[in-house]
Amino acid sequence: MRVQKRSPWLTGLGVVLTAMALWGAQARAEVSSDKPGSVVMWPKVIADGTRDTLITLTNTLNFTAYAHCEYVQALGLCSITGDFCDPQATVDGSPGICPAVAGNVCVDQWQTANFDVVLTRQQPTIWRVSTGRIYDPFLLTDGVCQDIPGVPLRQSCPGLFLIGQVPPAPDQPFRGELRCFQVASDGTPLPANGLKGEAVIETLPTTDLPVNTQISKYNSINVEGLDAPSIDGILRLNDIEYSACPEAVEVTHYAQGANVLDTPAGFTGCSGTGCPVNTEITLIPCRADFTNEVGARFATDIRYTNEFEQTLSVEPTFDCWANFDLRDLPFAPASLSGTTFQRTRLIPTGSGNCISGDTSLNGEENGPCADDADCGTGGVCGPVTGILAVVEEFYSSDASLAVPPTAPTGTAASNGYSVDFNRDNNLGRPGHCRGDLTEECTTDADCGTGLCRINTTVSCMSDATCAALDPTDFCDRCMNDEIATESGPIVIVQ
Amino acid sequence: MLSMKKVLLGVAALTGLVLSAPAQAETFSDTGAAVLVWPTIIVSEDYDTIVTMTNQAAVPSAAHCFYVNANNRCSNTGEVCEDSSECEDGGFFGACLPGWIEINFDVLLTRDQPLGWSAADGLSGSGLPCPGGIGSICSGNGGTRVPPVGEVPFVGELKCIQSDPITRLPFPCNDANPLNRCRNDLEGGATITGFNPNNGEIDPERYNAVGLRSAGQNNGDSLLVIGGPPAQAEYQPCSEVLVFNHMFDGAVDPVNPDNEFASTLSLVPCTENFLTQSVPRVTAQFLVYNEFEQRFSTSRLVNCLLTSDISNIDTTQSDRSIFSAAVAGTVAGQTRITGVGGGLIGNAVLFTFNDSLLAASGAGYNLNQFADRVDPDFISIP
Repeated sequence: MRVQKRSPWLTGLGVVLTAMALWGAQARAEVSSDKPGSVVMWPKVIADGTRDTLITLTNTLNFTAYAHCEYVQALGLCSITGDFCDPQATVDGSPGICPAVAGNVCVDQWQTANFDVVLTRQQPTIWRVSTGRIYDPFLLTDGVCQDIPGVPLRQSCPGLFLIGQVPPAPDQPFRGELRCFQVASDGTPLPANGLKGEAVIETLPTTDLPVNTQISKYNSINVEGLDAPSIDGILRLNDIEYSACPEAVEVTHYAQGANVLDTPAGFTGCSGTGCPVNTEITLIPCRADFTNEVGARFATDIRYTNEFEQTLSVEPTFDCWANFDLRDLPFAPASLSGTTFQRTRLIPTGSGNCISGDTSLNGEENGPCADDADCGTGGVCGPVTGILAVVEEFYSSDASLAVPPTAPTGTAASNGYSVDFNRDNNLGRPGHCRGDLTEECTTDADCGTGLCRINTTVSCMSDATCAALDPTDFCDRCMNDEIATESGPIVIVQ
Repeated sequence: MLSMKKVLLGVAALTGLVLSAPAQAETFSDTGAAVLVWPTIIVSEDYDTIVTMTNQAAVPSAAHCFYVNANNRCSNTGEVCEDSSECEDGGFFGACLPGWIEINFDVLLTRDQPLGWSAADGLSGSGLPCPGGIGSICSGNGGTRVPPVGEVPFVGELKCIQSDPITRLPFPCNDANPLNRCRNDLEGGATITGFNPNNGEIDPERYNAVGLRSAGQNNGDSLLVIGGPPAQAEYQPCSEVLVFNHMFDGAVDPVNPDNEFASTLSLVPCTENFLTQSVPRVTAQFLVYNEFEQRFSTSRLVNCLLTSDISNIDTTQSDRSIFSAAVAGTVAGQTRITGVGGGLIGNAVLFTFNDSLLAASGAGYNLNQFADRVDPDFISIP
């Protein structure tokens, strides 16, 4: 992992700026979809030819905001047929399963593409994911974006767009996530909590449905900054530098395939099919390494509780990003369970994951581990990552299920809920001590002697011990989620 | 002579002081809470609202809930109206006046249970998943009786308070006592579901209920103190500013250029008196920013409940509104809403629609927030 210690004077400046910017801020913060933050995440971003996404990003502060952003392409494609798929789908005939062709397996990916954004004070901005946005100061101010022909199609919209342009999503069809990090103009992370956003996912017109107007919308999930990062390029989500991710998340939704609960007397569009509702849940790991382009692997306990107090759970492992239909999981459909609604709780599980060393041990990048030795020479076994979620429901009707369809499938999304799983009145997940991941911690003082991140066999109590051996090294004691970012000054694209 | 570094540090400190951000607000739409607010409940000929309430805890929870019927009514006929032109009676026109009718009920949730109901139909008796008794595979919902909303059409609000199922008041609690800590176990959602009888389409608009979490103490009486001095606060404060991101009305949808955007905004006061059924009045001040950093402002009285197309907040001629793309000139906008005389809670729905083909789709979403209110808000319950 590339780590650089910044100069003490620049660090001091950053600390002063941050302390002042956070003047009066509360001691405890949460990862939230309600409040602006310094790390802004859109877990579900689609530009795959069937749907497209509008991203809005807003500066809520009275000074210019800069952001580094990263698209994460996480599309799953069947290796032979090229269909969209879900690598964790296990149920025959489910939407995520590849067609039964010899050698046709689901292959997912994790590729990133970064860009910058500049927002003037209180400025909102918007771009379409498939086209990006190019600044055109001569555009009419009539609330209409103009297409710029080409491949891929580009778009300009009225309004200041000081960064010059945002690129279209890479490698379309695109399914994945977007993250933006608030920084100073020199690229230094700035925990000023000025950014918020939304995503509008729109269904595209088709030949059968030339006027296809279904949209879903959710808020970005925002991580509040509390203190300036102490290590260049690494944002530590530990409730000290940035707020910690939740211990667990959950969503309430129609049970798999349940019929819509109520239809007005004059509506006959459900008389044939009952109007079943299907659900997709999208998960992203809090941990990510954009420096080395390594996504986090995460195992999740997916625990279902229905209206009859019946509970069932499965524990799949996901790579970097997960977007699964409930039909992909071996849960009983509503037609068997008789329930209309269900709560799905998603809990990170496992002892740890290799965050450095030989991360391909067991043939798996980011493989599971119990201690550093499991990660090979120079390996570090870090705590399992926290997760974040959004949910989207799809409302079918007789018309949308007709062949060909005469109306679109209705869609609706919302943010997941954080769960205080250990009932300690703190939504943030605790850290775990280096060398003993079974030990929970809040600060370094809760752990014993630590180990250096790079010189992994050297014991330490502070960063200075490790930095004396390698200026880019630091001491790991209480570990939590980390986002390793690509640093560098903001680049205006002409 | 001062070094350059000291000068820069001084400038940074001064800049920070000027630009310092206030504390983050403390209502939540994404975690369990002790009070839930659904600002928009709609039932009409073609719309119903499906309400969900879920117990985050592994022990039973109960909630005392209040529907607030905020239909406007004609002063002469008593009929539901949107404006006075609908209040004609024998050639005379009455006024269309805002109303406020409250009905309350209880919901009992078993451990970890999700529960949902149609606002039009309610939920009780054999409709309960766990009513108990012969033939019931689980028990614990007995005592739940959700009435259907009082009339159709219905525009209103729903508020639920985690409470003792016997007294129907909040549990007395104090986080200082590990055996009697305050609970934040409820989470809620709503899906306003549109049914288009012309093409058979279902259009769902889903949002999360806004939650007020406990402040760590509660005396268990009928006056709920939201924010204010820490010694008195029973629930965390409402926000000082609601941050509402939206598309300007009439802006062309960049994805489907045949469509235009429109938005509706719903606001309810944090303070409500269910005991006397007195109508709370809060003035909402709106600061609207477009993508050129230009700022517009307006204000509007929130009389119990404000649900309005955003381009009708400041005028009846929507093309002249500061929320209109024809005036703002850009697609996206940010509106900061400050309640004067009380806190506000809200949510919004974005629509993309094709006027010529009468096709529309909506998406509900929650507002962001900024800073805590200093003064307390109060909810009085019977």
